[in-house]
Amino acid sequence: MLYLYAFVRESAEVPDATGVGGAPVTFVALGAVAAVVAEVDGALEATDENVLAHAHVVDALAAVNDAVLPVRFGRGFRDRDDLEAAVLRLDGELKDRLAEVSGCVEIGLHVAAPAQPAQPVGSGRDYMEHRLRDLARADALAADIHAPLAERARAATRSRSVGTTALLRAAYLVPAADVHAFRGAVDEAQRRYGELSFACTGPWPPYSFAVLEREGAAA
Amino acid sequence: MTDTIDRLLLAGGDLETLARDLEGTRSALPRRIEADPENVERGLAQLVLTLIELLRQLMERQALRRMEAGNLDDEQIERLGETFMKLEQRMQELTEHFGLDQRDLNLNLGPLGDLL
Repeated sequence: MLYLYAFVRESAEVPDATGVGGAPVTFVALGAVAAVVAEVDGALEATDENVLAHAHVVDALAAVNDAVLPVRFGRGFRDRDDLEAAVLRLDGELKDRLAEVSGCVEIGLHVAAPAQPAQPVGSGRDYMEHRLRDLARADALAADIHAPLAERARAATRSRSVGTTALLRAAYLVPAADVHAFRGAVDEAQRRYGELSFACTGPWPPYSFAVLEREGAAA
Repeated sequence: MTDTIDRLLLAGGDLETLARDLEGTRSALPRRIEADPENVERGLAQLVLTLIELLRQLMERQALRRMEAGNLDDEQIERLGETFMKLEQRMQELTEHFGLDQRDLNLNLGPLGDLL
C-alpha cells in the first residue's frame, strides 16, 4: 500500500526521514505537485507511536519547505494508479491550495466555558426556553471570539459543537511572520473573556486546510 | 510529549477543563472497549451511554428547532421539555453510577463537530 503523508510542490525538498513503521519516505511527482509517500504493508494501526511517526515526517517536511499540505494519519492508496486517480479528481485544486498555505502555519484554538450547574427549572417549557437561550448565548459568544481572529488569518475553519461547554474549536491559517501578533490577539480575547478557558496551540503544519480534509468534510 | 508542550502558545483560565477538552481530541482516533473482566462493564456502559447521549442531544436539538420555528403547540412544548429534563437527570445518574464523566461520553462527529 502507498501510505500518504503530504502533498508538496514538485520542486520541494524531501528530508531524509523514516516514517511510520520504519518505511523510508519517497516522493512521487504528479505534474505540478508531488505526493510524499511510503510503501507499507497493509493498513496501519492508529497507535501513539504510529501517529507520532506520521507527525514527525510532516514536521520535517514543513521545516524545509514553505508549502506543505499535510494529510491526516491513516490515508493509504492501493498503488500509484489509485493515488493518481485521487489526485486527478482534485482537478488542480492541490496547486491552488499549496499556494494558499504557502508561508503559513496553523494555529489552533480551544475555548471552553465553565460547566454550568444544572439550574432548577420548573416546567417543561422553562427547560426548553433555558436551553434555547443557553445555545444562542454560546453561539454568539463563539462568533464574537472567532470573527476578529478569522479576520487576521488568511483562512479559518471552525468546528461546530452541539453542546455549550466546548464553545469554540477553530484553526487559523496564519503567515509564519504574524504568529506573534496573532498570539497577542488571542491574549487580548482571553483577557476580555476572563471567565472562559483558552488554549492556543501551534505553530502546526496546516492540517485543517489540506485538500483531502475539505473533501472529507463535504462528503 | 515535549513537542506538544512546546506548542502551547498560550493558555489561561481553568486548565483542568482544557486538559480534558484536549484529551477529548483523542476521540478522533478509534476507541476500544476495555474488555478485561474488571473494566468490561464500564467499557460497555460508556459505549451505550455515549450512543444514548448522541440520540438525546439530536432529538433535543430537533425539538428546539421546531419550537423556534413555531411548529409546536404549548402542550407539546411542555411535554417535550419535561421529557428532556428527566432524560438529562437520568443520564447524569447513570453516568455517575458507572464512574464516568460527562466528557467520557463525547464523540467526534466528523464534519458535524463534537457531541459535547
